[in-house]
Amino acid sequence: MHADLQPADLQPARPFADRPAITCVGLAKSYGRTRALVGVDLQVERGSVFGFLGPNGAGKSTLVKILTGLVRPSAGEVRVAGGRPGTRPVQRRIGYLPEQFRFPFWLTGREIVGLHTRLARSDGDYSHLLDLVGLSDAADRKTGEYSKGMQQRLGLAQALVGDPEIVFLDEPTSALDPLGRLDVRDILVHLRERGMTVFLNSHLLTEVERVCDRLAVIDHGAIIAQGTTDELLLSPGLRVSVGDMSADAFTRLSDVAIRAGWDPPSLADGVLRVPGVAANEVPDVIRVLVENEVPVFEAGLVRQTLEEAFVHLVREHQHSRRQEP
Amino acid sequence: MNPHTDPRGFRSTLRESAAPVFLLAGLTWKEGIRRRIILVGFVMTVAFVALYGTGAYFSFRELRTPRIGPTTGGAIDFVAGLGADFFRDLAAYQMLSFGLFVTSFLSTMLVVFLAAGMISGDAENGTLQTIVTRPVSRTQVLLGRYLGYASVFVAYAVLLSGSILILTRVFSGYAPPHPVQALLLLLGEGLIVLGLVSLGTAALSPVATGIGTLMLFGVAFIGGIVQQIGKLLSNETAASLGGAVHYLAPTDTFFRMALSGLAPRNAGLAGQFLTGPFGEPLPPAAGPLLYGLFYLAACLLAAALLFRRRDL
Repeated sequence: MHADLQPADLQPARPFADRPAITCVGLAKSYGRTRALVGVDLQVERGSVFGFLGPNGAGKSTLVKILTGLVRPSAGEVRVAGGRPGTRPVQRRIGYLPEQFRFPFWLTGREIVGLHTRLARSDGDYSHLLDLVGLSDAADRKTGEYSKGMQQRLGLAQALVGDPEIVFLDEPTSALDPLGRLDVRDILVHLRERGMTVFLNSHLLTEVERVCDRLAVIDHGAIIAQGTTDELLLSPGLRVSVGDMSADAFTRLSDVAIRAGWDPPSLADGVLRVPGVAANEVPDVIRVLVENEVPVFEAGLVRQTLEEAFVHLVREHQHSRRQEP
Repeated sequence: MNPHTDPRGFRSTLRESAAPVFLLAGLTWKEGIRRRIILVGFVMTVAFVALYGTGAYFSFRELRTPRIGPTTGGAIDFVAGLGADFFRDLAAYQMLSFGLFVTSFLSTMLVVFLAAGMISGDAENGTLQTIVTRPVSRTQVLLGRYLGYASVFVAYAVLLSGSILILTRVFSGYAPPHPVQALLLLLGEGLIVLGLVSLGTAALSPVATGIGTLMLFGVAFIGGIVQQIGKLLSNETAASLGGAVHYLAPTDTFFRMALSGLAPRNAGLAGQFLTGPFGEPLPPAAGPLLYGLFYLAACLLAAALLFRRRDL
């Protein structure tokens, strides 16, 4: 499957088939006194879609720029596609969509793809990538006339020129509408099926949740959690829309929760959450609520969203940072 | 043809390394054409040349004296026609030096405006990041950009100064002794300015690069004048201070060496008259020429080193 990703002009020298696509050990980057990355350890397996999450300014783009050879790390080891970022053999194997970019407005979409085909030292024809990202009708228009969303689609096509083995996408859907995001998600799934490794920087968590095999969360330059999507999400629980709930009723429910072995309940904006409740235990919770005269409008078992997990992780990390002297 | 299967001789390596350099250089021309920079430059140049030609025509109609046979401007002719020809040649030279100064000034401005953002500007808008993550080295990118702007500059400067030389020749009959040498030295001046721009843009913002380069260009020009005044007044301090500026930026030295290729031969005492507002002609010498070459190479080397180390 992966063989068709290596056209004849790509040098198959020193295969890194058994090695991870990306490895970072103790990676650090400082800009003067600002520490953008602090001791990042990371491993991305080949053929996986890796989601990299974090609040704005957490160090996401800095890491991608180190991995693509644009920024030199201050300390640590980094290996991409079996080599050092920024070297010719590695650059032949990667594609990159920057977060902030503007193509020369006086070139057409087709010319941009053509330019990158030649820069990638490929003699292949990559105009089909314009179809893939839905730009076939606009291919011969100057990019200066493109909307932001179209620019981003073209940026994705550009990143895929030369059939890279690893593609780095820094916020690839930030300028897209919901339909455009769906398109990109389909493209990511398609790329994974073809065996491409995708490193996805994003703060749009639903798209990450749906396509990524593994995730890492970064905050203040440090990785605070890493694992599969399932590992990062907390256990599912019960979500109940309630009317007025007295402190007394809440205390009684908390007592029941402790005895039943559920996680402590929480109440916010008329939504009561009781994590750890199994399906056959739902009636027990409802019974406590009804007995304490709490109006119940709606109840259902929900899985925690990545957004909730993300907010929880980042808040917890920032809280513990504040506690440090 | 797969470049990796054939024996990687020196030639194929060279060809492979040169390909992206020429690709990026060609892009500069495409940009110039698509953004109508070349069109505007051409139209304004035609306007300037037309004005210059009109001025030259009327000036020399007054100065021209009836003669037998064409004027060659050679030494024998000069002596034979001392008098009217002498003043004609001086006037023609003054006009040429003015034209050459305008060429130098306009093409320097063109180069600075166009090229000041060739690294820092492209880095700011994210264009550069998609290019340098391709299998091309940053040095190749720098050379490609330099070559692109250098070729635009050369085309512009040759067109402008060539027109001026031809018009002056046609209307005045004065043939400067070394027009090609003058043109080459003028091109050398611009290529040095472009080297400075490359060095600036590798480290500084486009605006800082533009201002820095133009100021250095201006300092070199003033330095030349200080040196000239120092010589006239026999003030050694002024003369050597002006001379020292040459090492800071040898642009004015190249300009004045270019002037000497246009100045009438055997000017003798009239040499005093040649000290016009644009500087005293300097005979080209190996020292300043080699220093200029070294200066340009050092600029490009430093630019490459800075660019390679720069976080983008």
